[in-house]
This record gives sequence, C-alpha cells and structure tokens, in this order.
Amino acid sequence: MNEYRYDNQTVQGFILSSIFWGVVGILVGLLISMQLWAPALNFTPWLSYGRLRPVHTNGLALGLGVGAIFGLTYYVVMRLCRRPLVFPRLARAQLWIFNLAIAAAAVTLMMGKTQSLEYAELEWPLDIGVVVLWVMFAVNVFATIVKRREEQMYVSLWYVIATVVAVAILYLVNNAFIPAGLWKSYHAYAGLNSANVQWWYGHNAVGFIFTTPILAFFYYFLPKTTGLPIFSHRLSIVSFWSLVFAYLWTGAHHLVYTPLPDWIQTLAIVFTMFLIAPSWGSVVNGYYTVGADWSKMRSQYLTKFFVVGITFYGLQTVQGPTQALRVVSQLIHYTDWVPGHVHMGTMGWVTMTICGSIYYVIPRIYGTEIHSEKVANLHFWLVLVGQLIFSITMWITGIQQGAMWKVMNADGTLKYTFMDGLVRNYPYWHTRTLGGIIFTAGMVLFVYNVLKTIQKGKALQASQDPSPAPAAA
Amino acid sequence: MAGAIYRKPVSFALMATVAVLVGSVVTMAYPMLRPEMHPRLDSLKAFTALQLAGRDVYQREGCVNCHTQTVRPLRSEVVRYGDYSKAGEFYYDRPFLWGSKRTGPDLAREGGKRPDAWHYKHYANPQSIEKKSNMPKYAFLAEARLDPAEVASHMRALGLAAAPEELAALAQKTEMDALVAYTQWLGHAVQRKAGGGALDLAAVNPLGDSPHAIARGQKVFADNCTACHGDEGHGVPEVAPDLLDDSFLGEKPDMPDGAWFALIHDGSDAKGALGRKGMENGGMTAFGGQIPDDDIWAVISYLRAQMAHEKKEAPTMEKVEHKGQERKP
Amino acid sequence: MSDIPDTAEAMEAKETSRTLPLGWRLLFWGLIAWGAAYLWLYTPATSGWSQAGEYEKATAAPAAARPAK
Repeated sequence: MNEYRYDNQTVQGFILSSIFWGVVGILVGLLISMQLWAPALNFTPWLSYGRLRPVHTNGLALGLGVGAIFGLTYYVVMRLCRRPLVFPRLARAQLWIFNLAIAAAAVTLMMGKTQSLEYAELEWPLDIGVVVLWVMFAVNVFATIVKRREEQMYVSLWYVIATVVAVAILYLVNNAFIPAGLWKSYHAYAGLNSANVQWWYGHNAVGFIFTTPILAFFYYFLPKTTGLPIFSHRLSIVSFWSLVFAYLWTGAHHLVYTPLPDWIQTLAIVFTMFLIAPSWGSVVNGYYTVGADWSKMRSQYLTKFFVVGITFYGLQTVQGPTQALRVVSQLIHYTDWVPGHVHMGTMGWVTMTICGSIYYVIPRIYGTEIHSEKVANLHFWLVLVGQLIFSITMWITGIQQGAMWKVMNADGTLKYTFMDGLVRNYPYWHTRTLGGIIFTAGMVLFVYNVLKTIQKGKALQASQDPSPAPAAA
Repeated sequence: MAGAIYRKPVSFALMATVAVLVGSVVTMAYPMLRPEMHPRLDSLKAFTALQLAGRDVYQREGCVNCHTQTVRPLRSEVVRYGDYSKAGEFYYDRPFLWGSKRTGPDLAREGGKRPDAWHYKHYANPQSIEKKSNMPKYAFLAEARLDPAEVASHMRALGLAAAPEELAALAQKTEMDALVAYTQWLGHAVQRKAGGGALDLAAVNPLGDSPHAIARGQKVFADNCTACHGDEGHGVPEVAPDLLDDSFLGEKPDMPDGAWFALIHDGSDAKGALGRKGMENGGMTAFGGQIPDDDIWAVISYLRAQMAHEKKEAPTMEKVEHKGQERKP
Repeated sequence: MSDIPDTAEAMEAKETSRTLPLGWRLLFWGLIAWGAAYLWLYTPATSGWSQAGEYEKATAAPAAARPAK
C-alpha cells in the first residue's frame, strides 16, 4: 500500500519477547496464588512467596507490559508518522538489552536483591539498565515523530509522548538510592518522604505504563479494526490533557490513614475522584465510536477485545477512585479487594487490549489473516471468565476480611482474631487459583494462535518472494 | 488549544512535561521542604548494626509483601495492634516499609509484644504456633551467619554509628538473630499501651468455678494462649512458662485472682507492679481490649480448675519428680 | 478488513466541533465541584478536620453508642 519499509522484525521481536515474559509472569502468578493456601509450596528461599511476588509483578509490568509497549508503539508510531524508525539498529539493540535486563531482573529478584518499593524493586545496577532502555526508546520515538511525513499528530501519538516523558521523570526520581554495595542500596528519602515519593511513582507507573500507552493502542487499533473513525476529536483533547494533568496528584491515595500529612492525602483523594472524568472521556469516545455500527461486534472478531477492554477500563476507573475515599479505604485497604481491583485492570483492560492489538499487527506484518478466529474467540471467553472469577472472589473476600478486622463487641473488644479472618480466606484463594488457571488456558491459546499465524506468514513469504522485508499496510 | 500544538511535537512534549510536573511538585517535591515531613520522636532510637542487618533480611525476604508496618487511627485497629503510627517513628526508615497488603498481621507494634523465643520458634516454623498459618518457614535464616564487613558498609551508607566491637560481635550472629532483633525494635518509640490502669489485687473472679465459665475459658485459652503456653497450659520450653506449676508463681504460690487478671490484661507491663521480673525482650502479650474482660476471668476459672485437676491426678507423686518431669507442650 | 488510512483526519470523525456529550460534561464539572468541597472540608488548614482528631472523637464517645461498622 505504500513504499516504505517498516521495521517489522523489531516490532515482532518485542511482541514475541513480551509474550514470552508474559507466560513466565503468569506461571509465577499461578504458583504464588497457590502458595497463599499451600505454604509447603515455598520450596526454597529462591522460590518463596516474598521473593516471587515481585517476579510476578515485574515480569508482567516490565516484561509483558513494557515489552508490548515498545513493540506496539514502534508499530503505531511508524504508521502514524508514515516513515520507518529513524534509528532501526538502535531499536534492534534495545530489543536485546530489554531481554537481558528482564532475565537479570528475574534472577536478582529471586536472589532477594530488592529495593522493597513496589514496582521499583530492581536494584540500582538494573535501574541504570532500565534508564538506558528508556532513553533508547525515547530517542527513536521522538526522532521518528519529529521527522514524520504526516503533519497532524493523531491522538495515539499524544499518549505516546506523555508516556515517554512521564515514565522518565517518575523512574528517575523514585529510584534515587544510596548505594551500599553492588546489589544493595537505601532509598534517598526517609520515612514519610520515602512513602510519598514511592506512591507518587507507584500509582503513576500504573498511569503511564498501564493506562496512557494502552490508550494510545486503543485509539489506534479500534478505528483500524472496525473501520469506524473515533467519535469526537474534542473529547480526545479534553480527556488527554485532564488525564495527564490530574494523574500526578493522586499517589497519596495509597497512603490514606497513614501518618502522611492529612492535606496531601485529601488532595490526592480529590484528584483521584476527578480522574473518573477523563477516563470516562475515553470510554465514552470508544463506545460512541462503535455505537456508529454495533454490528461490528459480530462481524469483526477483534472489536470485542477493544470494547470489553475499554469497558473494564471504565469499571476500573470508577472502582479505583471510590477506593480512595476514606470511608471505603477504611474497609478494603490492605485486604484482598485490592489485588482483585488490580487484576481487573491488568487482565481485563491491559492484557485484553494488548492481545487485540497483537492479533491485528501480526497478520499485517505478513499480509495474511489470523490463523484461527475460532481459537481467538475461545481465548477471549476464557480470559474473560478467568478474570471475572479472580476479581469477584477477591472483592468478596476483601470485604469479608475488612469487616472481620473491624467488628467489635459491645464492650469495646475485638470479635475476631487475625487468624479467624485468615482462615476464612482459604476457600476464596482456592477459587482465585481456579480463575487463574482458566485465564492461563486462554493465554496459551493466544500464544498458540500467534505462533501459528507467524508460521503461516513465513510460509507465505517464502512461497511468494525470495527477497525479505515485505511492505506492510 | 486549537490545532497548532498537535503539529509541533517539541512544544507538545514540553507542554505535557509541564502538565505532569505541576501535581508532582505540589504533592511530592514541595512537601519535602516542610518540617512536618521530617519529624523525629525523641524516643526513637537508630538501628544497631544487628537490627539493621535484620531489616536487610526483612527486605530481602520480601516480608513487606504480606505485612504492613503502619497502624491506622481507627478504633478496631488500635485495639488489635496498639497505638496508631506516628509520623516521627519513621525517621530512619529508608525505604519506608509500610506495605500495602495484610496477608499477615501488621507489625508496627510487634516489638516487645512477645518474647524473643516465640519469634525464633515462629520464624523457623510458623505452623508450630499457628497451625493454619500460611506463612513460609524461615528456618534457613538460623544457618546463615552475618558478615560484619557487609553490615558495616550498610551502616556507613546510612550514616549510622557502630562501634568496632559491636560489628565484630556480628560474626557470632545469624540472620535469624538479626531478624528477631529488628522485630523487637519495631514500634519501640511509642509507649506501649499501659493496659487497664491501676492494679486491683483484691479483685475476685466474678465467675468463680462455674462449669460454664470453665468451658468458656477452655475455648478462649485454646484460641489465644496455647501458641505460647502449650495445649494444656504446661508452657513451651524457652518460650513461655508453665501456668499450672507452682514454680511459675515463685514466692507467692497462690497468686490472687486480681494478679492473674492484671497479668493477662496488661501483659508484661503488669509484672513490674507485681514485683516479678519480666523478660528482657518482650514477654506476655497484653490481652486487654483484644478479648473481653469476662473471657479473661473465664480463662482464670479454667486455669484454676486445671490446677485442681492436676493436684487430684497426681496425689502420690513426689514433688521433686513432678518438677523434673519432661513436659510436652 | 477494509483499513482506513493512517492519518489523523481519517481516523477521527470529521465533525471535530461536535459538542461533548451532556452526561460527560455534567460528570466533569460535577467532580470538580465535589472536589472543591471535599478539599475544603478535609484540609486541616481550612476546616480544622484531621484524622487524628477524628480518632479522638471516635474513642471518646461511649462504645455502645456507635453502630458497629
């Protein structure tokens, strides 16, 4: 369709790497979900819950999440700029360093080398690696955008730019550590500041890894798969700017009822609630876009990935802000409700949208069709059901835990011991593992489908044209 | 904002940067300049080398994934754990370890609550104390010796002082010793709850020896006391004393109801008032507020019944033999 | 799959001046109004509220007078 040679190999490399680390992260997730009800599964110190949980979160956030973000962003940027990457070899080097870094991250975390800050566990030598990767990414993205052949920057590019800028600031500030050895360091901030900086980072890592780039893909791949243009440009604008402005105020909602000064907590709660508006701006934009022709839900199998994805984004962005309210936080903070919430976002919104995007991209690279729509549909239903089982059981048990911790007798004593509450979690934790298994089964089908499509594409390529590098859509 | 900015990537990126910086400065950077973000309680002690080594172990094993270290100012929480966390308690915490999930209980007030021996036993095998606990076993910590040079470099990085002999002594310590020392450090800066106030030795058990009270007491004892004092109340060696043995009562073989009540209600805090020496690191937990006063009396009814029962069971046994008997918890 | 071209013009609806949905505008301004009120009510410097003060109040009242939460 056009004359440029896009660097599809690097895009595919990142996608395959991301899938690989995704599978690893999900399997580790299954194991730690079982360790919660079967402590005998803490086989060795390396495989104990306390060390594996960060392997699960980092494996999926950095491995699956950031890997897919690198690959899909390059895909989207090249097309929206109508030119190849300015530095294709830099991107190739970035792919290798990315995989080395994630492998090193997994190993060092299992060794217990950790900064003990959620989503910033990696010790300082690996932090440097992450910064290098991000600089490589930023250089390529910005250079390509600056030298683009399409004058107007589409919405997806706005979100890409915001992601690149915000993650850089967040990561550098929170990972300021005092080295105390090659694999040991202490946070540059102490006590309240350590907490405040960490959750400013922690919450916005969610914002700028699990929200803005995924929105970039949503805004790109939804019109591409459905053939329907985005409903409102103005809504895109208002949502974008209010989202990136409001997000950075909200971190302290993770610290409600801690010794952090009240005014910071209150400010965070206010901006967190406000975030419902820009988030729902994208939800409304998505719904009205598909609303122009709902039959696409039936005729185009990928539509439902994006519609269900944005639906969970909408639920997530109402549930999350509600949790920040003091009266709700009292009950559900520190309980299993919170993992239930997180997994609706990661399994329901992020993974769903990434999978939909990959299903779109991989066949395009080879100018072919997906291996099997039937398998893709089955994958869709399995991950949907698995995620719902997971989230809903965690919400129930979270409320139960929170209530049991709070209930008091008339004489001012506690009704339940901590163990009373813990024991009641077991049936729900069993069910959660079941949900995880169903989700994993769906993801296995996804991997199978993608690999089969690549195989088919390669065969097609070999039969058509002995010279490499096909032109893509 | 119409139009132009969406054609100028550099201006756009600058604008996005400004947008993300406003909230960051107001809620994250600016507070650092305020004294309210750097408070320090006068009673707060810096880590010793051994305690810091323990904190390093706590970090390495990812304890923060399941345990919080901040008590919220909520009524039920203060009753369960102790006074709510104060800003000035975290001056030395780099990073903070408040956590975000309580798969296990909060530990902010754990120091001084229980004897060292309880922690050694519990860390090595949590299920030996709480059968249904899902905590992993950390017995391997007792095998790992500390490296004084490494701990010294960690102390230096934090600007904390340690005498050479203090560091040298670490060579004899294990990671388990360090973790227990750190556990006992937690929450030391805030006075533990003084319990129910003045001791009333004249108080008499209102429940007496009613069968109902004894049955109730047995259940309460099983839920709250057996972890340390054994299933039958005969104690656990090195952890907690035998409650049915006269030797526990020392010079006062027949401790009055009021003293029993004070010990259970206020824990080790009551020991001083009773003229008994407490354990150096922690000791009896204060159950006041955690279980109703009536249940405390019921436990006393139960223990008195057990004592009477034991005396009847072994009337012929020599006192010396009785003392020398192997006790199983 | 009929692809629409990779241009900002093609990927978004032509009517860029389309007004925002009423429900969404209500949500947007409503949350700002709510936020202003909440900020005033729960900032110690403006209302005197504090979480420590709230705790003192909760524990000062007789236990029986409060519904179990």
